[in-house]
Amino acid sequence: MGVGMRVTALLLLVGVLAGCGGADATPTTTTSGTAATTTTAETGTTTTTAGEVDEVDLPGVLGLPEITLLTPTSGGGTRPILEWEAVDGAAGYEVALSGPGGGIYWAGWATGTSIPVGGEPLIDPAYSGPSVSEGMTWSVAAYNADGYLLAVSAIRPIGP
Amino acid sequence: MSRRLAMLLAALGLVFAVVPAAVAGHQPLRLDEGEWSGTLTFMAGFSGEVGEGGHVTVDGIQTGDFALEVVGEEITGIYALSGTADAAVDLPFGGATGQGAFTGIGDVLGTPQVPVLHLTRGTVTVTVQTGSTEVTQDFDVTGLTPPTELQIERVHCGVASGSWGREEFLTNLAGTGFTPRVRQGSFTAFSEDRITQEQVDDLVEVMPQWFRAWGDVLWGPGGAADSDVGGLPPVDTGALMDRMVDAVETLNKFQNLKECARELIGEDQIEEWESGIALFTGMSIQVILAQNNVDAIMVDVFTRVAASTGAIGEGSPEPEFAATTEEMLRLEAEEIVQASAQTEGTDGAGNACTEASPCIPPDDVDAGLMIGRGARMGWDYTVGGETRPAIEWASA
Repeated sequence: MGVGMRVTALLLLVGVLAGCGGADATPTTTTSGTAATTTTAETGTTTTTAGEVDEVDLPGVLGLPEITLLTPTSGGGTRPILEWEAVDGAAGYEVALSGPGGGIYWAGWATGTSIPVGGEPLIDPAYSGPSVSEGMTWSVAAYNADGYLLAVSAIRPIGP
Repeated sequence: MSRRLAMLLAALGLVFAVVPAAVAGHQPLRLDEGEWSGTLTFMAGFSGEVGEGGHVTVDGIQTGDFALEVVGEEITGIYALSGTADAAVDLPFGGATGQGAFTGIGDVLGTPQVPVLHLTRGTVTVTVQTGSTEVTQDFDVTGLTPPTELQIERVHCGVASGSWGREEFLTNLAGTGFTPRVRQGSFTAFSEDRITQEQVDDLVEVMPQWFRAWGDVLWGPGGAADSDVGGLPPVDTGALMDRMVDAVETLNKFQNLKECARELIGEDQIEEWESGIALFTGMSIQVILAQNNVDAIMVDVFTRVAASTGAIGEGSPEPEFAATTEEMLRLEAEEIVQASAQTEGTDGAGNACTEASPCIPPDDVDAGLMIGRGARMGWDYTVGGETRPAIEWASA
């Protein structure tokens, strides 16, 4: 198997990945505490407040079509089902869950338009594994079959 | 038929004949979807006064097997039972003994909450001895044995157990004047999908070998494990990627482990394996990045795999090592963005592109991929000596 095929295999396999590796620690929570809408004139990056964490207009910044996120910003528990609208031509979707510090916390891959935090199938709440805590954000990126971006969502806050 | 024989037949028939419970109790437990097989045991008897000064004692046992399949809210299956009963009658004018032998087959129907045994063919063979006389006769008891519910009392790890026949037996004897004695009326069912200790033992035995095989690719056969991958001789990149593919599948298996498997393996053991996968994935990515030129798609995929397996990220079990891995991925991404930077001309907004303030062409898909990646990772990129959050290079 060549490197290209192996990358393809990883692309496909990460889709069924549990994502329950070691990402089970609860990140240290710090929230921005901001309550205002800000605009960075130089870059055109617009952020709007949702709860205590800013929402980032990633599609606008990257110049890509926007994926509409459907999951409410809270109320879904520690392992909510993350849902979004389909993108034509998408081979799969990467879901990224970031910690309060902005760094990656967990990533999952779905060929459909939803995935529970921690991956399919939903991890029993009694078990260790990735979970949502206050101050986190999530986003979705749609990829084509070649592995390039087709569309992205905003980076949106999410809490339990 | 002699009076004694009639009494014995009546008595033996009661051992085997059951009627449905008057009211089915609440059954929150159920058999999971799939195939089950199990055993049935019923041990009971009765005693009491008969005739004028006579006394009868009957004891019997039935054992059997069943197999069924649960599909949705329906059960289909079959069962077979056989048993024997011994009876003794003492009367003022003499005594008699008798034996009954029962065989029966039937269907298992009902619901996953309440499986029901429906006898479709049942025969009792009665042999009575009195003095030097022995009488044997077969009786069709199919009609005497109405449907009998299995009362599920426990379901755990693919094994269900409970009782059956007890209430029906007592109900059937009510009003006869006989004193019933139910010693056992139980069943045990085993799911074909249940995790067995043998399977768990196999996994516990295989996993160390699985990690060792991965280590052999990293450090050579029998080589000492070392998380400092910088000084490693050239490794087989393809073999490492195969290991990562396998790791993704293995991690998925862990997540799909049912409660009972996790219980048998132990949460600590599972977490140890998951940590091992995170660490080995991180090491493999580091080695591949250190020894190969990787393109944007590979950086993107490796980052996703790393974040999915806990090889990087805020929840990684190996935070320092994860930070190193993530930094290596970030640097690769940064190089790709740097390579696309333009220092001449103008950007889309008409601003001059210079050495000090380079521009990233918006149509460069590799740079775009890395900027998108960096934006979602919270990374900074330094281009032309200027460090900005990755997201800000999108409009540069």
